Amino acid sequence: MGNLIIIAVIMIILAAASYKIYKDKKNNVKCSGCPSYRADGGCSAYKSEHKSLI
Amino acid sequence: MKIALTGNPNSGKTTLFNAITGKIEHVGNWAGVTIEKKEGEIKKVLNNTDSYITAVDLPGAYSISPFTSEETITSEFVKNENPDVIINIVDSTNLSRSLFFTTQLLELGIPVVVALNKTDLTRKKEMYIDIKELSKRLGCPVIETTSTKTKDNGLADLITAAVDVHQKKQKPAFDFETKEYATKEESEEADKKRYTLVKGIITAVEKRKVMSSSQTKQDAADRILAHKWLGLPIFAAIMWAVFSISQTYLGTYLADILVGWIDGLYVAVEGMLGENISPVLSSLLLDGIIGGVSAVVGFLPLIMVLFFLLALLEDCGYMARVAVIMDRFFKKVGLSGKSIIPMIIGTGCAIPGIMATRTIKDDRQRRTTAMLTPFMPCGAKLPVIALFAGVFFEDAAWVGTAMYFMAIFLIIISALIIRKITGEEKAKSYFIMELPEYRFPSIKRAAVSTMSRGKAFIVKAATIILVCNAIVQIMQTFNWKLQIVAEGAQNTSILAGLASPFAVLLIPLGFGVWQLAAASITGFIAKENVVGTLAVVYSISNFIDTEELALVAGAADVAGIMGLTTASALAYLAFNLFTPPCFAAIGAMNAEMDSKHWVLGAVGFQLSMGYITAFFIYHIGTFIETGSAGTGFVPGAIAVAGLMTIISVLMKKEAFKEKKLNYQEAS
Repeated sequence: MGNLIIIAVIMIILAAASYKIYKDKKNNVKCSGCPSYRADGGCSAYKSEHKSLI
Repeated sequence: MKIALTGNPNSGKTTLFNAITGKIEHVGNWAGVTIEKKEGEIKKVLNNTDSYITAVDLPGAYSISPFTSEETITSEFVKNENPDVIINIVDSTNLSRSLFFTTQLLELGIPVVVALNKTDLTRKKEMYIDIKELSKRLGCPVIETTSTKTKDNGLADLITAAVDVHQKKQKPAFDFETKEYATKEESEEADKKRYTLVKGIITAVEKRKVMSSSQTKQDAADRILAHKWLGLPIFAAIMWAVFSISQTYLGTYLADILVGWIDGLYVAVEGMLGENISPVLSSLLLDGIIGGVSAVVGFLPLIMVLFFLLALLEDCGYMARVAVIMDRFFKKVGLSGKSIIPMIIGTGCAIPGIMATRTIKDDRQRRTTAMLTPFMPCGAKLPVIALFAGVFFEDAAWVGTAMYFMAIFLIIISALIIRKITGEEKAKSYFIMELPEYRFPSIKRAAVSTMSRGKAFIVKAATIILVCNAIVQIMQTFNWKLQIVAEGAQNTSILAGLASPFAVLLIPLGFGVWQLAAASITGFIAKENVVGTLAVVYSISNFIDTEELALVAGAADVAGIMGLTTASALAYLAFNLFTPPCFAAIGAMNAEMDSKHWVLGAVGFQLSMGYITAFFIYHIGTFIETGSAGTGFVPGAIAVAGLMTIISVLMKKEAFKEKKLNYQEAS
């Protein structure tokens, strides 16, 4: 039972982190750690119209 | 209703934009900080109407006739996107320079309100400006503002004035027909008339106690701080002090408190898990997730202190002088004088630094600058520097300073090499930059900027770093048959299997073990991962000693586990700092360079420079330490030569293609 709870906790943590990465990617936030990152889901600095490698 | 904020560079547009919208866009006490337009809704407290009012912060411009790419953005916006009102932010301490642009804006027919900004400084300088007369002569409202103040800043009056003039027709400041001038002579004639008008206005409205031609204390300070020979050693001393405070004294003290809390969390979770939990799960949660993330987060105070000090330096006007100091060296190696600005911005994060290269007109100089900007130690690289300074060099501040200046040295050398292999001809480069006045830095602005960076660092640690560390932990726990790896047999793990081939390539650099190779590879996702992965693969929950107030707990033990000599440790640090940056920064390089060959060449070049630098540090260091070269000298030298050949071929091909294209266009 204890192991199942821990698995669930780990899964929730990883899912939340992965979802945040996915959301940032979708909102064109190239890097969550960039100082231009904004909580409202956009990246104020990176609005380049050029294509990106990533 | 849409309001465009325009004005000369460093007139305080972004500070005013932040004040009226509540946003926290990056501001700096120098010209060229804003390179793109930014939009925000004006705060409800300043908006007395029922409708939304949007403010658009535009890059600084001296003229409506664009000369630089930023001026083009501003010019095209005010001409083509029909803003309802233009707020022209005018630096009240430099009225004569600012009003030329104002006269051009008044000719567009769009209602203009002049925000006479920095009025606190005019009072300090004992200057007097006749607002009524200025408003009458310009034919538009003039409102005094001090956007750095929270109260009595004139911003409410400014927005009210903008709302009042909305939908009114703006008359030019003088009877002059606005048109696209057919010839250069016509355009110059019109400019002369504008200057004459501005001169007349200044004579009528401005009274100064100290004339701008007089020598001031600011000039005296510049004679020392931006001196041809003294400037560089002073800059080095300032950077040493910054690294010393952030990584040896205050930063370490604060990190100690934070790590105490993290340790408490670790112990509490460990206690909650008890002994009945599977060791694999317990290890994944404690060592992989909590341990890996906390190893990185533990360095947060150091980074925040460093950025706070750099923000103070920028705000007081010193960083603009650094640009002047470095220009002398940069233009000798074929870089634009403007190249220094992206590099200084790149000390925070390489991405905005790379983006700032778009202000450089010449394609080759722009691409070279975008290629070299990631060499500067960005915020993500600082935990790596702090870790190695702590483990191998007793928290010495010189390590960070040395890496900073080694980056500048590498940029200069690299620019020379690139110029050589692309066959670029020597071209004279001129760098004109308006030096902002020295001022007492704003603690509030520096704190806001630091908090913003700190928050971003935590977000990154809780997302990318966390997921990477969990994956590293899982790959280290299982072998290729998906069986749990026995204690002490990690060499058979999936992680070891993947990293070992790369580790072989690193033998000539003095750190050919799979753990260090794995850390370097994850560093390409985000540089902080180097620290996180090292913590996971060596099972170190955090690196900071809470009892001895030392940066790295049991530095000698950690050094022993890693099995590095001083020379190989320094080589490993240089390898991680000077090889390609994170993927996000490579993406930014791709966007700005707009050439696949250049991007591939850039990544290859950075890889080579990192490899070569680490190779020389390791072998020269080992020679000094032991009297002979280190392991793998001959294969390493062959690898270095091979990499340089590939880059040379790629870039020569690109240069040849461009020459061919130019020839075809010419013929």
